[in-house]
Amino acid sequence: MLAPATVTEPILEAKGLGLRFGAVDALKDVSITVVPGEIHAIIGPNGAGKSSLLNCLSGFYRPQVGAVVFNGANIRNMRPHRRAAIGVARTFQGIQTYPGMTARENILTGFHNQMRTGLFDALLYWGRTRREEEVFAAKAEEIIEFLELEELRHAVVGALSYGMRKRVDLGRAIALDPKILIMDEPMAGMNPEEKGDLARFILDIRDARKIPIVLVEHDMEVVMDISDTVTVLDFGRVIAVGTPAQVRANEAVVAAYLGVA
Amino acid sequence: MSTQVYRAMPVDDARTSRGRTLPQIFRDRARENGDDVAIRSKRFGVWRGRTWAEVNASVRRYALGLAAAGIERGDVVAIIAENCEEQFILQLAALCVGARTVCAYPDSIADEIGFLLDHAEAAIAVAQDQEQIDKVLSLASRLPKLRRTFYIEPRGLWHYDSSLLAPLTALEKQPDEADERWLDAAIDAAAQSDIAVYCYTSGTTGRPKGAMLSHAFILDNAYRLMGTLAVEPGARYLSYISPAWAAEQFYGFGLALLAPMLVHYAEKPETVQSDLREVGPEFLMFTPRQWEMLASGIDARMMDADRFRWALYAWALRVGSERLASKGQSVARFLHPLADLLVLRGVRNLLGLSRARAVLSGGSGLSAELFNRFHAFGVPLGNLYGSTEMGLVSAHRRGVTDSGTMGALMPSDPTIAGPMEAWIDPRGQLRLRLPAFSGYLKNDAATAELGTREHGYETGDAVRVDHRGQLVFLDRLKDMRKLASGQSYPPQFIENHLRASSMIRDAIVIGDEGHAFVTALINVDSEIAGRFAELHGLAYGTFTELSQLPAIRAEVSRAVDQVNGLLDRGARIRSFATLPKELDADEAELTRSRKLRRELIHERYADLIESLYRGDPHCDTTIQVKYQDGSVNTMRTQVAINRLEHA
Repeated sequence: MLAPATVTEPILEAKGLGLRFGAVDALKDVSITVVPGEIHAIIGPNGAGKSSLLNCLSGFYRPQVGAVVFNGANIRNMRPHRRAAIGVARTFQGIQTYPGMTARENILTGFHNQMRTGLFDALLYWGRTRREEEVFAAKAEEIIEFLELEELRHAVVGALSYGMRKRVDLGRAIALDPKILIMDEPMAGMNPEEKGDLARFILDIRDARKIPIVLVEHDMEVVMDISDTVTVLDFGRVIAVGTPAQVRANEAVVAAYLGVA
Repeated sequence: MSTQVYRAMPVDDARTSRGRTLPQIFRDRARENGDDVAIRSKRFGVWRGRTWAEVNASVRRYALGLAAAGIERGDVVAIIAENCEEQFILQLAALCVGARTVCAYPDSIADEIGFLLDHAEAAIAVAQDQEQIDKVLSLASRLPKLRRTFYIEPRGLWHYDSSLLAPLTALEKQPDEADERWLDAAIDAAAQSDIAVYCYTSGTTGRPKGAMLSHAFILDNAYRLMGTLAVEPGARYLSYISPAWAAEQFYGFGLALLAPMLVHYAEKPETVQSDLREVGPEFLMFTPRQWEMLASGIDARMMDADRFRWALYAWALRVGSERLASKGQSVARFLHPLADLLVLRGVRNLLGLSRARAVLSGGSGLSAELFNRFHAFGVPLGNLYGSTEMGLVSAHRRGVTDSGTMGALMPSDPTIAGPMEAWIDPRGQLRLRLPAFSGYLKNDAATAELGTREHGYETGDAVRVDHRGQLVFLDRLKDMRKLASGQSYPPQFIENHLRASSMIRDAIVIGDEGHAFVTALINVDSEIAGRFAELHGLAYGTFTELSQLPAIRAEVSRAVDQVNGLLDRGARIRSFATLPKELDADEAELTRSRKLRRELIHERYADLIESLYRGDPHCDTTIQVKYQDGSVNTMRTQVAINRLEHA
């Protein structure tokens, strides 16, 4: 599905971002536009500024110049946990699960930002808390079904394979009920089969849960297969934007990857 | 010579079909048991039950939807899904409007599903998910009869654009009063002899054949199960074997309506093990392969256990086995309660079989070792013998189980037929007189090959009936071998049973039209025999000496005697010799996968075989031994010929 970028309001935008560490320009006048319903990949050689851009979008870095606009509001100065609360979720390289808890429990922790009752209520486990827990348990089960984790529901996550832990991690991110999902190298460290599974889940997140996705990924095959839009960075600048086919044919991109000046 | 005809022992169970079709019985369920839970499925981690009344409402909506989609009496609805409540409901819906259903194995490749849809002339296909839909769509151009395809799970199908395709929910139609009257009339119009289901038999050669099963046939088989296993109303059943297999049509469908049973559907095939534990079914049926997987699951867990636990487990299993072997006469009977409390009960719990009343293994033979292991655990496992065409023929009744037999003839629904009759024809083949299937779809020639009810259907199976009336499956008739006298015997059966003895590693059964009787070459198990010799203080130097020790030969003789007990007189082993050298793949006597190279063994031991038939007391044998460095040594030795007194 190609996103009709010209008619849809963007959900997340970076406008002229500049990020400088001392004398190093990590990002220079970087702009990207993510529209609803798309998978937007950010690629580029090592050191091109991909992770810096992701960190600016999710709030871990604050760019010195430019704006990050989410649903029309500038969130440049908003802290990461606030961004998560308004619907900007992110997964990290590697795994951020609680190894001692089960897959189901890990996914349940993702709802923490939506829980309204406090410690005192929880101690009594009465009325409101109980109802709330039932609602979230049902939602967690939906995610378990969505990610096909049924047989691992009660398995302790620490004992699972890398690919499965990554899937649980993804489940926790979905539990945040995000409006947009930012993924940092989701395919890293996976075998081809796990990559295939995860690629399908990413497509399903876009199609079934209507969550647009921004991802940084090194595996070009995956990027070209699943992305609707690809932004290419090199030395902190955007050198190309377009569909996978357009980007693949772009001479500047070929030069950046092959190291031709 | 008059043949003895065996007749099934009838049971007194009033839950007969009394001329009703499957939908008519279902409608009665909804009226009489409306508030009882009929089926239970696990979705989103929770078991959700639906009453007969609720299921009935669904069935009627789908039935009217099918009618609205143009399905008429005699049309075919194909279902390609795992065991799930949608399958149960759709099948009933199709039968309500007089249509027939055919189920495909979800793991079939597209080409196989294409053959089935084409051959059955399916008008509507219902597929579980994207995977199955892809198969059907890839074939659509070859299937002119296929009008529409419905899917149960929409996942991944969001962007599919095909006029053929719709979600299953689109098929439901809210009935008005006229609809209700029309549907009841449609249900009333059907007869028990109408065809309800096609089951495609897995042909080992050529394309599968579509066996046609009538309502009466399915219900009679349901009764056969109910009578044999004494299935109580409301019994919990886990549906796991595929509805593409006739056995599940009898059990999970026919009997579910007739008994009625409370049928459970697992969340996914992958979760069956844990779902089994949650359901604690009283009745279920697995294939031997599935029982093997359950057993190896236990083995795998025990490998992780520490030494103390492992020893405790081994002890309890031994106590369980000994109690069975001695029929409660040994000390094991005093130790058993403790073993049960400490270990066996836990194992049953882990397997999800702690409430099992009678569970079956069907499809092919389950090894005696595994059968006995489950019994040592305390699982009431029984064997089942039958075929798609004849239905279920014999099974172990509750409390009467034996790894060596397939149970006794099953009782028929008296409102459908009298007790089934069985006899062994002169070729050693099991012949049956019972209500069978309604023939193969568009293949009268194959149907005719099975014979007729009057003269007894030909099963193609060599079967023996023991003194208790239990059926012993020997071999497929075509695999039987004949002796000079014309007497036939089952070489595979004998070899398999000989191998089951711990002392015997391999056995080669000899005897064909040039021989008067059956003999055997035995390769004793060097490890077990060695330990046995040590235990009894017997000295030996080489395998050759070990194999010829009188005590070892006496042990083998005992094992052969036991196997002989399973055979008719003329088919018994009269003499055997223990091989002076182990069969070895390096010497081409075995394949790398340990299959016997018979011709070569016959050639190499020609002298020995001759002695077996001549009745010599022993045979001077010369054998060549090849060493790993390539050198060859000739070994001369004397091999004893052992005769069996009772054979």
